[in-house]
Amino acid sequence: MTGLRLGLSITQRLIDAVVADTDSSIVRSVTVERDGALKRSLDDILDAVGGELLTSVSTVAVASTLLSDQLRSNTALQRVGILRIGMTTTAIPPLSGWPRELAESIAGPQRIVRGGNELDGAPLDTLDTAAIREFAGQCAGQVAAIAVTAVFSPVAPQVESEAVAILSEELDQTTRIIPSHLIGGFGLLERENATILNAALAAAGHELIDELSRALQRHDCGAELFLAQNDGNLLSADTSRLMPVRLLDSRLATSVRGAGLVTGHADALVVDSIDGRERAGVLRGGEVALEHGVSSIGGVRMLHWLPIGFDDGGQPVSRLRRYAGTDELLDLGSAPTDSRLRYASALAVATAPVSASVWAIVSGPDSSLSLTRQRAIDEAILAGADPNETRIVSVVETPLSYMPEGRRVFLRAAGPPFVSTFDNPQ
Amino acid sequence: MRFTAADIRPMALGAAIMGSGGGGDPYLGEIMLSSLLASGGHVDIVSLDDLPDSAQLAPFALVGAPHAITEKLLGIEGIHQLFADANLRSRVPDAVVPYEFAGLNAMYPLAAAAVLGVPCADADATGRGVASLDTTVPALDGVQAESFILCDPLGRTVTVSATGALSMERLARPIVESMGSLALLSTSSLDVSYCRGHLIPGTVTRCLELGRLFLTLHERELHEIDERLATIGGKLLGSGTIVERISRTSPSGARTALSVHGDDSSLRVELMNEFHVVVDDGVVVASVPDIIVVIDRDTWAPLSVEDAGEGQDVVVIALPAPERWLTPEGLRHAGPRAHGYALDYTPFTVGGGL
Repeated sequence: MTGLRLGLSITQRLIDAVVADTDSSIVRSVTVERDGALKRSLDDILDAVGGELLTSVSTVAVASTLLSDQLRSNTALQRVGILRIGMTTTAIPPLSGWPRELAESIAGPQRIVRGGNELDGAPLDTLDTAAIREFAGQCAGQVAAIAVTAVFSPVAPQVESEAVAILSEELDQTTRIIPSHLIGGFGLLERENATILNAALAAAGHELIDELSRALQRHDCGAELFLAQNDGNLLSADTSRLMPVRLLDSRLATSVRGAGLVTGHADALVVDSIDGRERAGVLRGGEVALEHGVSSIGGVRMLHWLPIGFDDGGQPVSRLRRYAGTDELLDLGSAPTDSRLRYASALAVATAPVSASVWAIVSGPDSSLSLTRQRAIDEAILAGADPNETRIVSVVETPLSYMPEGRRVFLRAAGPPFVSTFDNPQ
Repeated sequence: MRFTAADIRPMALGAAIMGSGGGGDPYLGEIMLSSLLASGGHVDIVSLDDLPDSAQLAPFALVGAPHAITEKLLGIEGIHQLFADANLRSRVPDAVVPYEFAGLNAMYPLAAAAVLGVPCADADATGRGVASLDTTVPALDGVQAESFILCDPLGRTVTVSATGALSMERLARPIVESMGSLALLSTSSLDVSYCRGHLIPGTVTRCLELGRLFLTLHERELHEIDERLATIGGKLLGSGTIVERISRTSPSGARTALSVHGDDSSLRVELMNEFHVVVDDGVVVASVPDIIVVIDRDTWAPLSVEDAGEGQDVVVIALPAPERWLTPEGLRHAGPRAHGYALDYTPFTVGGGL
């Protein structure tokens, strides 16, 4: 049997596993209670799936709440140096608006230096390379990672790349230096926030992915490893290492989409019980409904599109019901233990597409949008999607105020996970 | 009154409402003010009547595209430069006066006053968010300031001296674009008698009261919201989910319509740089220059024209325009026809339930 896909959904208390075939039918579903360290729990669940199936699966995809749990408990976060490029920004210092405790546990040296670009990519100011070297000196031995954010880097990433190169020269190889254009999105403060959090989570993200890879090796499973993002779509393990902030908590999104897969409902309110905490999301048109615009993770303002209900502190179900536009309620937490609903999250992650999102500013003729479409498709392929089947699945265009013909464009490309057919262990 | 850190949140909410979907997100101004007033500082808000007749005022506003502001953020340096500019002013002014008290443009002059350590006058030139530098009461009265100064975030300035009737919008907008779509705007110093004659008094304190009232409306039943709005001459026009957002190009820029589907009504909201017209089942129920507000029902955040998108659950509210805009001349500058709609100003009706 080939083309089988294994999905794991990991929380603090349980791991659910589903092996699904190409029609998204469940071939096998098992649950184990977690007993101690992740390593042991992974061995338990992979044993339960069984060696025969494990050698037949071509992809393993993992949804988890683990990084989000670490963020919430302020554990495993590392100290981050913060470099911002652009002297126009000085009245709004880095970490503005953060919960104080989180900011204090993360903040290393910070500095704002000259440089950056205009919205059309023209230089805003000369890059102050001397100040960047000086900043590197302040960071040496003090931080595990550095977040680098320049004005308008999404349209002109070179300035950040130059700063990263200078910092790498000055600092030892173990310091992870992360430019904000990698994280993406317009709004310097929100992009910087995401980059800082991403840098603080870098080691925890690597550790999680290493643990998963080693477990698959121990069980002779040669399948490609993918991780589910906050919106429930997948990223390859390699890309995931760069983007832990996108992997904080994929459980809600996968539960919502999975509830639709299991029941056949297109629109519903989905309630899940995760480690004893009730959470609710919205299924709309068979997909998880996302919050547009500004959202918040752990009290930190960002522009990522997250599932409605992601960081709500317990939104009343009646409100989410208005979003869902239906009275249909799917309660995963109270479903019988042998019910397929119990495996909604694991099924959804087993069968999820790989996707990538791109934000761009376009003005004038359509040709620039075709470039942006290609960029979204390229990024999805880089994230592990099959080049032959990757398509644009969503385009949202918003005209920009006071910019004639200017539009902000959000594009999402998606495709099934790519599996090499040459070196398959079969 | 003394404006302190405790007033920042309600002021920002009021400012977003006065923006009618424009004026820029007050959030950055909120952050700037919070850090300026963190250690117990305050800004004196002074009424024009309480200022000495000899006082001189310096208007403050940001001009540009919200998209540029969210990347370039805000600085402090230009504030000192504009306030004390030797080419523009014979002496250092006594107070800051807001130019357009809406959105970020409400919060920024307050922050400027905090930076400079001077009072902020309780008045402005527009009384609501406006899309053009020409849509001001002084322009309506034909008494524009003698000169305007634009200062980009790196301190480069351009001064425009006016003679007779001219469109500041046409002159200034290309300069602002060349400056990277963000500039700080001031004018030659205004004396108190000019401000008393040609600005709208009480805007700042009214905005704060508006914000305080709206904070009490979150989580209320719709009929309660409507009843409380009626006390300030406002009305709840409807509620529902934005099911469609359609944009089209036109000679005067991109035009967008939102369809809001609710239980009892189906509203269409027409917008450009602000929300302009609300249509209920084919009937115009509110129009500019009245202040049209679209609020996210869950977060209770007033939405900007750029952020109002499909799937959001909203209430649509109308608040009365400053009276100066409701004269025939005011409507000619700020009514629906001035924004390219082929319809006359339609006042909304207060009361009468939903």
